Amino acid sequence: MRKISLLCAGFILVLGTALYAQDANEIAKKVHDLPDGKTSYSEVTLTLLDKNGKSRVREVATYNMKDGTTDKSITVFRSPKDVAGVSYLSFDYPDNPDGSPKDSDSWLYLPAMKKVRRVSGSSKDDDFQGTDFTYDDIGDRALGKDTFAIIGDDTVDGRSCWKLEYTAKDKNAKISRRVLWIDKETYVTYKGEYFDKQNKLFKTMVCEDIREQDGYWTTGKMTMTTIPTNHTTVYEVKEIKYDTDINPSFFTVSALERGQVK
Amino acid sequence: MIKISKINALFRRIGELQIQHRYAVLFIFIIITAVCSAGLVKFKIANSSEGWYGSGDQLRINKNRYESVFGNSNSLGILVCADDVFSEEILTLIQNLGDRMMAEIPYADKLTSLIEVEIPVGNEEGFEVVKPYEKGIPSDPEALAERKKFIMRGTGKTNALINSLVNEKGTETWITLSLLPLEGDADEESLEIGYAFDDILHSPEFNSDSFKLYGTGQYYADAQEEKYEFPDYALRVALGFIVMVICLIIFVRSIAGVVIPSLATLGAIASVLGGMAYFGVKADSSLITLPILLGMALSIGYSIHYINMFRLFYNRTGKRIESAVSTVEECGWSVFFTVLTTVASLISFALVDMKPVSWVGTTACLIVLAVYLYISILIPVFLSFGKDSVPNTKFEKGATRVDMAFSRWADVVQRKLFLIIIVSVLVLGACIPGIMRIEVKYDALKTTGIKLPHTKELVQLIKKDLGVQYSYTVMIAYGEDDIDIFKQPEQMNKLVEFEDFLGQLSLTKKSGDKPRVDSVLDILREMNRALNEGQDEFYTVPDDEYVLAQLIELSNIDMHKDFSDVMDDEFRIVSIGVDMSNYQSEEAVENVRAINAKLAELFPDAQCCILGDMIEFAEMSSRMVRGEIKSFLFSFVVIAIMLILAFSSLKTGLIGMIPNIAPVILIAGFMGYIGYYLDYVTMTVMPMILGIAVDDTIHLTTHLKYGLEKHGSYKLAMEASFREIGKSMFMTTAILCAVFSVYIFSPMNYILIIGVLCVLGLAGALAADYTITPALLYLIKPFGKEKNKE
Repeated sequence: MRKISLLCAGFILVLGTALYAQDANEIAKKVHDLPDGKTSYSEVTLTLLDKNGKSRVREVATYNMKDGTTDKSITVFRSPKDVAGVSYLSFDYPDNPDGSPKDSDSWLYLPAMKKVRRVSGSSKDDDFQGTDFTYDDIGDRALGKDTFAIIGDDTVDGRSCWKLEYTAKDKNAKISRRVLWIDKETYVTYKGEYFDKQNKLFKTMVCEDIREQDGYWTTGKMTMTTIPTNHTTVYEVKEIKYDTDINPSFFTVSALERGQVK
Repeated sequence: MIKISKINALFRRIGELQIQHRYAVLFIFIIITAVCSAGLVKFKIANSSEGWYGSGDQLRINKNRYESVFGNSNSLGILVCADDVFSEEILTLIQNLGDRMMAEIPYADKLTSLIEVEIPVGNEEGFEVVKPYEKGIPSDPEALAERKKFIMRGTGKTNALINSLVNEKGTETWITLSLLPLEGDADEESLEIGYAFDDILHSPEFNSDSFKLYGTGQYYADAQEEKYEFPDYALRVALGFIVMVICLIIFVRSIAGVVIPSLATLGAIASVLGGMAYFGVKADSSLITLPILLGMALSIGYSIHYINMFRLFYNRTGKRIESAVSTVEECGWSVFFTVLTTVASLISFALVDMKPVSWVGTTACLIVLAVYLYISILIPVFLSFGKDSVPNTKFEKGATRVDMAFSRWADVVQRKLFLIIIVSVLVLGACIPGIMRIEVKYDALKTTGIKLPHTKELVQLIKKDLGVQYSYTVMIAYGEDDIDIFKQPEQMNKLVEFEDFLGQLSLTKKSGDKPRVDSVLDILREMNRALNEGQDEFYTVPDDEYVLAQLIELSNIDMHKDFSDVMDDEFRIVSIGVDMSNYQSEEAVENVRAINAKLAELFPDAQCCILGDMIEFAEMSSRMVRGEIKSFLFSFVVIAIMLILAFSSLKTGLIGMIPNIAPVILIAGFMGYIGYYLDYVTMTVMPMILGIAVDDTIHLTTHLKYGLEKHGSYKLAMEASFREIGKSMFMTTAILCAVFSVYIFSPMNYILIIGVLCVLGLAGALAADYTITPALLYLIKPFGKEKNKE
């Protein structure tokens, strides 16, 4: 009798864990697949604050377009004036069938040199434009890079959230664990905590001004703080348009070369 | 002269009070000792990372400014040496070392190695940041050779990696880990980091005959110091204590006479160190033993005075309490006066603006005072317990043969007066050229010596092509109104000129022909070349302002981690790192002067500062000279004033100082001839010897004065003085020398040097008191004419 009880308990535990894990994977997928339009245009202000409170502001415009399974984007610097016109064109591809991430293609246009250079070798773990965000933080981190678990529930800004834990499969990843607060209703991220390899809190993210625009959930302001350096980046969306008309020829090297995208 | 009778009466009153309330006194001392000693739990030793300078010091302020912009100025490095660092085995080793460093070392931030290195490369198609081993280390020899060829392309002049990350022979390469700013207690965390690094470096998986690893970095050095040097400090203190107990056994010969002073000394030292720990004062690692041994050595002398005096009275009267009170009455002032002179010399260290020296001054003063209080209060209290006995005058000794020999020596001095003075002048005169040869210099390796395992490794490391022991950083900071100033080609050209200038300095290390100077220029040159199809003629900083501005912005964005180490985000502060070939104090001072002149010429509107070894050592040299002069003059003047007051005579006071300068001249001359540097360790010896040496002079002069009043003749007074105290002068000096001699057997150079100099100085002081002091007293007759009572 005792043996049967133990077996039952074990079975329930295994089943429960499996169900829970399945939930976590589903949630992560839904977060990843949140719709953001076939095209979009946004104007973003990046404010970098150092530990002494000094700030620097960069303004960029971004154009995004889905072309089949490829995400194409252009980032154009508007300020500071030295870099106004510097543009990045990037093609992001879905993961390989084996789940491994596929390298993106990027090109850089430097108006001072009037040249387009193909850029490769930068990792998505790298800082995004020298900010506290990585390319992964801003974009969609490939699902194949992590395993998922729900580690609790919490309320943020009056919204009931799951605390979804993302654990990097790469043991050498600088950020080994992310905990994101996911709204149970909309699957939008409300805040995040990022832990390093020694499981020390490395970065925190706060999301604000979350609104539905043109039928798409939009985060108007994200504040990322790197704890050890006490450096903060505020990513503010000043203007955003979804499903707007964007000339597909913008997303070409020649358009970049002509300085066509402003 | 101060009326001794009045002072003695005061001390008698003190003695009566301490015996009258002896239980209360004991209770208070036990409580004080227990409470203060409990502070030892909080006792911490400041390691070298803390530096030699206090928080208000300009050097520290500059360092803080640097760290507020560029983060932690400390990093860890491993120099990997092998036949071919591009072989699969060594590359795997580098990868494994790097992985473990990133995973296990607290505050690990960014790793730089052959595996991690990112190389901006330009070709006809575009621009690429290449990580040669990003997709793994190949096993195929051709693939390995191809990657090696790629990394080692060009020469040291067109490839920033050659002779910097890897030497041109491909037999040495660095793995460097930069660290995030520490958040907690710097001493504790630096040790934690240092030990984590040490564990990795010495783990069995990284032990092989086919390669050799050398660790570097301040935090690692701190851990190594604790691992190898601290046990020796503990050994010196333990040996000092054993010597103290042996001396007490030899000279006191009673259980109480050994146990009570030993416990009192330990209690006094523990209370001071524990009490200081309550106030958050951290002990200095290199000089920690000095105040402890000094306290032990002096406590023996004080104890012998009190115990012998007590025995004299007790044998005479048989009454314990009365004898204890009389002991305080008789010994109180003379011992207290010697304490004052010692404290006066030690407190002079507090005037030196270098943390180790000021710490040793403050701590030694407190320990000497505490030892005096414990001995002078507890010994009479303890000796007062017990039954009275019948007087026993048979133990009162008359003059022994030795005493008589000393007495005859006084006669010899009088007869050979001029010979003694001439010989003394000649000996001291012979020291003058030696003094002129003293080099003011701090050399960490020479100070510690090369007998310990970590210093042996350091010697080997320095001999390598890429090996470096010392380095420094120059920071050029424009104000907040000058944002983007380094985007101006004019400023960048000045930076190029300044970097070239640094490369030509005599102390700048060169690997191959390449000066080891790193700045933002390396990144800009690499990026510029990469953006121009990889053509070597573009390995320059562009002259066009618009191009330069975008190149800087692009470098900041695309190579942010490397860039942020050398330029701030507002492009108005730059940092230039320079590795040094070796360290020569005069050259360092000269180099610093030249750098400051060049900075003033090129960047007159910027705030510029030099940080790191070069400036710290150069500054230390000048502060050591200033500190030594200030400290020595202070102790000289204070002790002279005390002697003048004590003898109520300007002439006697000043004469009393002459024999005490003799051992100092002797030490300085010896240092010059033997090649000991004047550094922050050796500079503590001279004022300390002055403070201790003067005690015997005081005893001798005081006895002579009494003797003159009694006998009326200088000759008889001197003979009586030598008969009475000649032996005890020898005995106290022998005890001090015995305690300090435990230093002589240390494997660490500077500990050995302190031992040699202390023993020499104390022996010299004794010799002076046996020769120069009586000769001068005979010659000058400071206490007036003889009354000839013979």
